[in-house]
Amino acid sequence: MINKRFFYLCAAAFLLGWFVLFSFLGGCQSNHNKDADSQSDAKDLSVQFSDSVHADYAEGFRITYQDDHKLLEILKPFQDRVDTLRYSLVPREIVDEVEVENTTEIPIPIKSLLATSTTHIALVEMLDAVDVITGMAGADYVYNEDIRKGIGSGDIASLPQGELNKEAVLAMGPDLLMVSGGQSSDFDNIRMLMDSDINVMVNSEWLETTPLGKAEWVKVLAALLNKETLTNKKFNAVADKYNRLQSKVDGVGEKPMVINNMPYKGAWFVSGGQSFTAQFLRDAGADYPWYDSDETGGLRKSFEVVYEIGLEADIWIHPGAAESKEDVLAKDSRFKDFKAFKTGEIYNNNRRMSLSGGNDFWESGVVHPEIVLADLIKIFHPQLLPDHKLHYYQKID
Amino acid sequence: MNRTADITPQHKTGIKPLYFVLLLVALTGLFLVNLALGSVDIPVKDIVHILLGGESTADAWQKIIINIRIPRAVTAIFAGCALSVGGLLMQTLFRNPLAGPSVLGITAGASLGVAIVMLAGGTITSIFAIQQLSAMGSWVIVIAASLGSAAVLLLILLISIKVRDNVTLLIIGLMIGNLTIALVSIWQYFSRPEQIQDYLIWTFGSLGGVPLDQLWILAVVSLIGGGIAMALSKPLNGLLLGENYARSMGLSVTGSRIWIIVSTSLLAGGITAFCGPIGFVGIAVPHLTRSLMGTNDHRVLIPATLLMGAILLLGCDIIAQVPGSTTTLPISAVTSMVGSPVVIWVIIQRKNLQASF
Repeated sequence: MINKRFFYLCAAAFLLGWFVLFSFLGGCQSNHNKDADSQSDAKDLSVQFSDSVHADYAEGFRITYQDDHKLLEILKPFQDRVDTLRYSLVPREIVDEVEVENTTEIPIPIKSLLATSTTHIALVEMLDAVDVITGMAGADYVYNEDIRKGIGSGDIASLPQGELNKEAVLAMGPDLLMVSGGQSSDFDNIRMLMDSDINVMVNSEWLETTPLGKAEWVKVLAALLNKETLTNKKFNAVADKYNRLQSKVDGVGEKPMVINNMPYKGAWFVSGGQSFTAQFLRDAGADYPWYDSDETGGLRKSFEVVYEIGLEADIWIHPGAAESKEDVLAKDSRFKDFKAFKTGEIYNNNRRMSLSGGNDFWESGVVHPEIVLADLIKIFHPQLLPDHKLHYYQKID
Repeated sequence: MNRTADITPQHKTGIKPLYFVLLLVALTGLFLVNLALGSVDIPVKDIVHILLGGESTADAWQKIIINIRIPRAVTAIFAGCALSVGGLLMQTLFRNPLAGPSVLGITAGASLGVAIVMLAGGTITSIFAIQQLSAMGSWVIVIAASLGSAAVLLLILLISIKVRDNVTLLIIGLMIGNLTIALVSIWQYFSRPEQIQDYLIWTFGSLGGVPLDQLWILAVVSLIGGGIAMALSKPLNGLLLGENYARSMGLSVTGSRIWIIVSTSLLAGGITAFCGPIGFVGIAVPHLTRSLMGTNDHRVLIPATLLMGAILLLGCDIIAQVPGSTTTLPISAVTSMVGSPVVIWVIIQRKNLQASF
């Protein structure tokens, strides 16, 4: 029979050992960032950057212009985290001479981009630079005609949705791999690729809480592609139009009550009060039950809470993937009691879909919030925009 | 006279060394095939060139072999060895052909640790996210999984001192596993969809997530666990005959039991921490090995199980990579799909499964 006390001691020592081992190993991992203490030589390397872009609406990035490089800072790469990823964008011709401390160096203009989200496509599309995309992960969700053709003909490498295929990425060897932060399951892959000298940039446009902030990430692409002048022109036009539309709504008295989304297994995720969708609803002059919550993502509500509101709500938007009233009823026959169902005021953002399931709302809609806003104003206050035809939205009949 | 020698049936003596040689050849062969196949086609002569330390014609190929395929193949070997031996120990301890390394809730404990990190509001993960991207790798997840399995292990050890009966211990282990899974479910229920997806991806298991600089830890943990298992060969042989018999032979049953649990926890917990839960290998390989070797003697079974586990997981990994396409399959699904029919076949062939226990 083993001495009990001795055994407890052993077990405790064993656990402690594990813990110490891991903390120690965790602590002494070296930092992979370049610790170059050599500032760029005194040679005259200054490049005249012809024009500059700055973030006015977006909170997630900052671009500053130096003599020989542009400093791109991603201020909020992941949820709940205020920390900064720093990239130095250096003109190709002087890339060997310039080294900026504590940054990942990206030679510009980039010539090949591996995109992992349809948003990335929208950003380059707005800058007429679709040619730069040489690879796409999750091809099925693409709406853009040119990209789909390129994938079909094999000119654009197609990677499956889901875990990044590291071998395929290395074989492609793109100038830049753009990823959306937030998937910790992909960290290992990303780190391995960085160790193999693939430039990885975290694009966290999805954390922006305003439509214009989201669209403004086009400026990050502008800096990478040296297309600042064009970008300023195009983005300013979008922002002006958006703000003009928003001011149209200021005077309306009656605001329709809106509910959104579709329940799943008894849980109804609605948009939080600080979310991107709630911001659209505010700007389009809708009344919404959860404006007061400070959640930037989804809010979990029980079926009955939303059901009670739904009985009286004037308009229902984004009912899942529904394309007809039958689809809505097939989900749950209780929806026939909803006021919006009876009056036919149900709208979904899936008017522009590709056959394989790509939705243009999540593609060009990201850089054209002014069109999305016009759609919503047309839905909530048709009298304000009599001539506007719904572009991304359709009425569910 | 050595009593244990009496009670271990020694069929086919003399063929065994040959079997070991064959297994080693198979392992080496599969290792090379595993390096040669993947999403990207790399000619064999380039692979040989790279392995011999030469320069490859394409820079990307060299990186693919060195940074991706070698770590993955080596991880597969360690994971296969560790899970299989862990399964063998549990099957012998509980004299139950359905036992596996996860039977005591140790892997469930690891999953709970990971779930806490990934689902607890996401804040902990993101605090480390930055370091992870630059240098930390997946240490947070690894530490969380290790602490989770260690916590369950401690609980099981305390119970195993109090409870003298293995069947009771087995049931308690299963229940602890269920409890942890229930906790994870509740957590998932209240989590954001993207966090659930993250956790779900982790539960698929992955052999490709262990970078070169973390591999040696996996190796050390596996070797310590495996070493303890090897040293336990004699008590394990005794346990097959029943606890009373083992006691009468002068074995300390409680002592052996504790060491068996510690060894299995190291093996299963360590692998789960680095690779996520990889199912099936731990249950299947001991059966395959017994039927190949035709013996219950752990002095033969343990080394053979080590080899067999590595071979099986390397083989499954080759299938999971779907050579020549950019698609990959989750390793856990492949192990079950490939292994289950094999085990059914073996068990039907043997007919007298209960004779081993």
